Amino acid sequence: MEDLESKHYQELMALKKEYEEFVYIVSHDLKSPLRAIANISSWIEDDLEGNDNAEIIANFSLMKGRVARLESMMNALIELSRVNRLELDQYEVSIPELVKECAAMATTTPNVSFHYRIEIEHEKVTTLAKKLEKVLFNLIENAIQFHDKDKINIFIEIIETNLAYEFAIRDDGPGIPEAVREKIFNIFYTVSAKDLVETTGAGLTICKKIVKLVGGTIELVSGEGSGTTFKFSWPKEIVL
Amino acid sequence: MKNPTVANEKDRLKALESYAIMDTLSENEYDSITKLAAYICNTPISLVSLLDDDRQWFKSSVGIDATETPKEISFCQYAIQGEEVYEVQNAQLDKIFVDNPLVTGSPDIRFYAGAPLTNKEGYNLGTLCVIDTIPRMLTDLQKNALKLLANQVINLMELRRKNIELKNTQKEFQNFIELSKDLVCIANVDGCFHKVNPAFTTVLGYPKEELEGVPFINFVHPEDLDKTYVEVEKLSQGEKTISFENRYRCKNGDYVSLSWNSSPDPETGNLYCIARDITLEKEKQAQLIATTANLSALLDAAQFSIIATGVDGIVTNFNKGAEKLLGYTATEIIGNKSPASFHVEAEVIKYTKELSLELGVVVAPTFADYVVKSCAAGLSTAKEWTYNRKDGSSFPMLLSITAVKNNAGENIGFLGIGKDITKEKEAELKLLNSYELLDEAQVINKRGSWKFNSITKQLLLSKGHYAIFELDGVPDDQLYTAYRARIHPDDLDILDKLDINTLKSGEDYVVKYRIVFPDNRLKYISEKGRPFKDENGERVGVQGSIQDITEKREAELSLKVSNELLDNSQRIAKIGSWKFDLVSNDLIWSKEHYAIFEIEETVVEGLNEAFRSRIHPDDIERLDEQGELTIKTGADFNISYRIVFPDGRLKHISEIGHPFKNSNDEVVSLQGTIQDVTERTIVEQKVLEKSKEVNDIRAALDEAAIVSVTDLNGVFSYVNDNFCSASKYTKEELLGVSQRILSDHLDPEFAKNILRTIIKGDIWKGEIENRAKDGSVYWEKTTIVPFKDLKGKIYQYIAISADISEQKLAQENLNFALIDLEKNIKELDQFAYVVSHDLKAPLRAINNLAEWIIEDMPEMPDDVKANLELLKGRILRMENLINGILDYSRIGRTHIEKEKFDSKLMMDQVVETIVPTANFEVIVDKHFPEVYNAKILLYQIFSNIISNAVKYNDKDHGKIECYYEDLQDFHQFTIKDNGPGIPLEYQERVFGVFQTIEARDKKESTGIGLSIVKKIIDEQEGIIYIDSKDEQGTSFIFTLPK
Repeated sequence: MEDLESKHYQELMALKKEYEEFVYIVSHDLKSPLRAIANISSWIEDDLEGNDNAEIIANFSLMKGRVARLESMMNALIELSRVNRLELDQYEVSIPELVKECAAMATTTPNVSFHYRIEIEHEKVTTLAKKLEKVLFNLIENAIQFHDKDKINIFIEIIETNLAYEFAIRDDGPGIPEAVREKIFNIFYTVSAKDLVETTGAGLTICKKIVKLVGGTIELVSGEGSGTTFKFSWPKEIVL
Repeated sequence: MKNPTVANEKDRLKALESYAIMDTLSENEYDSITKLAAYICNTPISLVSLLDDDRQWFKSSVGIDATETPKEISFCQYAIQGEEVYEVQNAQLDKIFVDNPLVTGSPDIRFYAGAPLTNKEGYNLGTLCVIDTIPRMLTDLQKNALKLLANQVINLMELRRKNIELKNTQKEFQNFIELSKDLVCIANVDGCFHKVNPAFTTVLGYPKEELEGVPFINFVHPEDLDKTYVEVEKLSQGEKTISFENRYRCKNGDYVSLSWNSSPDPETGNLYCIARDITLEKEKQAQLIATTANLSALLDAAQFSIIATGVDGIVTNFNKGAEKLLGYTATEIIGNKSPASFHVEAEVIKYTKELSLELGVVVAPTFADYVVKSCAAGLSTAKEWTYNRKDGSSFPMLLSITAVKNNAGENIGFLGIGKDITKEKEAELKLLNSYELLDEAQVINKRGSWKFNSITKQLLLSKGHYAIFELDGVPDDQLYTAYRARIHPDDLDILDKLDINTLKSGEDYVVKYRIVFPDNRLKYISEKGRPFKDENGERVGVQGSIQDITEKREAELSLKVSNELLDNSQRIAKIGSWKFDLVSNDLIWSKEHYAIFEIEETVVEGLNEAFRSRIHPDDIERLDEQGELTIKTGADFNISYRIVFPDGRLKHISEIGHPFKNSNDEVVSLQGTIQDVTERTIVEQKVLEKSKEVNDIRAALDEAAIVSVTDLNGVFSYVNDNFCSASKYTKEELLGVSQRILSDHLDPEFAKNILRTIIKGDIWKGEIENRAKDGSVYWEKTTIVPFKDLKGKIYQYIAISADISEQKLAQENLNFALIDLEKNIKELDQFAYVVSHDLKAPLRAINNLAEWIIEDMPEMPDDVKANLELLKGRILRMENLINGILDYSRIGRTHIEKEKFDSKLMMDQVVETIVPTANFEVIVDKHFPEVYNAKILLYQIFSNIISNAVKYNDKDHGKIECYYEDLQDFHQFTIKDNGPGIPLEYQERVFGVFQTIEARDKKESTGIGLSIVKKIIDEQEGIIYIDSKDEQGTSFIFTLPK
């Protein structure tokens, strides 16, 4: 029985390793050929200097866009592969400050209002600050990026429990249809077509991987039409 | 000069003497009075003068030195004549005093005034007087004062007298106490002797010092302490006096009895106690009591009637025995009656008449007379009389009468001691009757006795003999003939000869013969005979006894049969019986007893020794002890022991014995049976061993397993500790409760299935999920075994279980892990698919766009066209790569299709894609072979190694050399760079995941690449190793099977 169990465990570990390897291989092995493609396309661009065929120019710019997208996807994959390996330093941060910094970074337009409800006893905590920052940034950025209204309201709630900080990031945007909820954490998945909103669709995947790494949970709790709420818990003690 | 006289002068002097004041020292009290008197009367002299027989003596004086003067010249003798103050205003003018030397000479008295000192009894003892040398006169006031002061003087004197009296009384009292033989003491409130008189020392032996200040209770006999406390306590209850006795310890350790009288002083609480030594009295009293008791015991001895009378015959003492015998009470008789009233008058008259004849003197029919006279004649007065009881019944009395005399030898009464001899009389009568009884007994016992005179041929038969021979009614003269006719013809001759022989030899004989009756009935007779002699000592006949032994013989016959039966049955049952006569030490065994002990039946003498020699040495002592115990207590016994045979065989014997007692209640014989229980014992031992084994197994089970026993209804009758700890119930909570307490939640069908199995008597095995007391669930792997009795009926179920909760948990975890694994595999598939699909989408778009651009530009410059073609080529290659990676991700799960391809071509592509053209020289061995393998895997190997060679190269001019060697079954590739080299200690580690030699952030590297390479080569069963000398670059050498 134990043998069987350990065998299963080993298999599981192997599988995880394979996953890591896969991400690595994809991101690294494809990096060089992609670089080549990017290089060639820039040579062609040089060659086409002075050509005024509008259709060609449009097509070429489209091609450049695709190459860029491909590159950003590759970068996203690399980032994903690095979640478990890089930026694993724990240091002390102030949770409210961190949240506000992230909010400021993610805000690109002036029509965004943040509403905070922070009920925590210990503001400062020693944690994987870079990772937490990444999660917060991605979620806030998503909330702003996919918003469909002129006025954007973002509600950020932080509650401290015995073992963790509970974060809730809510927006009054379009919400996520019930049917696709399952998929949003999948890599490269975007609710709307990539051409409408340029995004790799890797942010939530990375968020989930980070939260999983620290031993917390992340979930989507919104209903369609009444905005989106992401809730995640961030344990005070993180054991890697 | 004429001196006045007082009428009662003698009494007055006596009164004065009673104050004992004369010639005493001066006292302040008196002096202050005289001073006061002088002061009040304004005179230089003042005196308290007391008139003795011939003088006046001054108890106190002011103004003169003299202490006394002769009475006849005193003024006071006049003053005491009256009751008022006697005043002489000018003595020179007073004819009584004009010549008085006290006037004519010193102290030249002119004035005198004296108040008489009159005591309670009215005697004037003297005066308080004031005197001056000049004439004067007292005022009335002064006189009064003088009188008052005189009174004071008398008061003082009275006080004095009282004191004296008191002292005397005390003295007397003291003497009295000192001299008293009684013990007198004062005890203080603390219970200590305060004062004791010398009698204490005399009686108790302690000196005064050892008593005074010591608690009196210290001396009281321990047994009398309580009594003493009780008495003393009474005082505190308010009793004025207590009287009691107790014992005091003397200095020599003896005890004396003291009789106490104590009373407390109500003020101080002190106890005044007087005690008398009553030890002697006590002893005498005790003696008296003892003597009285002895005497009473004697007199009250019920078996004798003791009656004392005075000379008049009137009873003076009538003891208990007499009361009992005669039915009168002592009070009815004493002083009222004479013993004559108990007698039958006729008997007395008859006896006295006889006595008269015998003694030759007239004896009156009274006891007095007969006793006196018979005593005088030296005859015994013991005689049987008929005595009448109060209730009229009578009994025989053996009576002795003694005349009681005083010191002077005068007769003062009689003492009669009588004994009821009814019993003796009865015994006498019984003896007479017993002869008759013998005959009767003989008849009943079928015995008879006879006597035959061979000379006269006279035959005498007892009643019993007649009965046995059935000769009743035969006349004596025909008896002999009839007797002989009864004898069996075959036996008659023998008997006749025996008779003759007996007469000759004079010896006793015993013979058995038969008698025949006319109806041919037979009787068996046993006869004992003995010759008897006539007066001359000649043997003239034979006498003896017979016994009808017909029935006995029959009984013996049947006994013989039954003995055989017994022997047989004993043999079968291996039971032997024995009897041991303690008197003769004879041991008798039954046949089977011999057989069991394997001793020859012929052994009779020394059987006991033979028996003992068989007993196992370890058991013989026990056996002997049992024997002794039985003889002592008379109780039955039951004992097991072993016997050993010379060949070493053992037998186990169980013996039961019963002691028999004689009429003296002494055990005279033992009787019993033995049984050979060897087989049984062996079986028992086996059972014992077996049960121990079962117990051991059970104990082991208890240690190891969860065990429970339920009855047919599933009610627990036993649970072990493991059961309790698993179920979290206590034994008390489980026993008597149905097992449903644990399993009620189970699927009814499952439970039914178990029940169906076990009620059939089959063993059920399986896993059960039980619910513990706290609601938690635990799994047991259980075996339920139905236990059947000898008839095959199930009477209980035993469940033996192991707690497999952990196993179950592990199983569940495993299941979860499997699910997890599957989920992960699925996720990975999904991920791989999504990644490759999503990456391919823009790639296709780029490809399409390149096509469109070519279409849109018909006159495209060649270099542009070439670049676009190049782009398309790269896109295709990348797509292939993505597919390959997708395939690779399924390593271990799906087999990647192998194909033949040119490894040189692949290496060239890798180099072209990865190695920058500037600053790097790459040499690829032209012998790179065609290989049969999965393209993507080899691509992984090549690209990772080349990529590392480029990435870590630290030279301005990088150089990578790729060599090939054919190793029969393997391809061996070597990729050599001119980079920094890998230190020996890192050479193994570089293949580990996430191992890079330099810090992670320094160079973009995840360290995963080489681990993938190693994994692929390991899976292909090839080998990879590093050949690197410091600063000499690194060679990766690996083999792949062909």
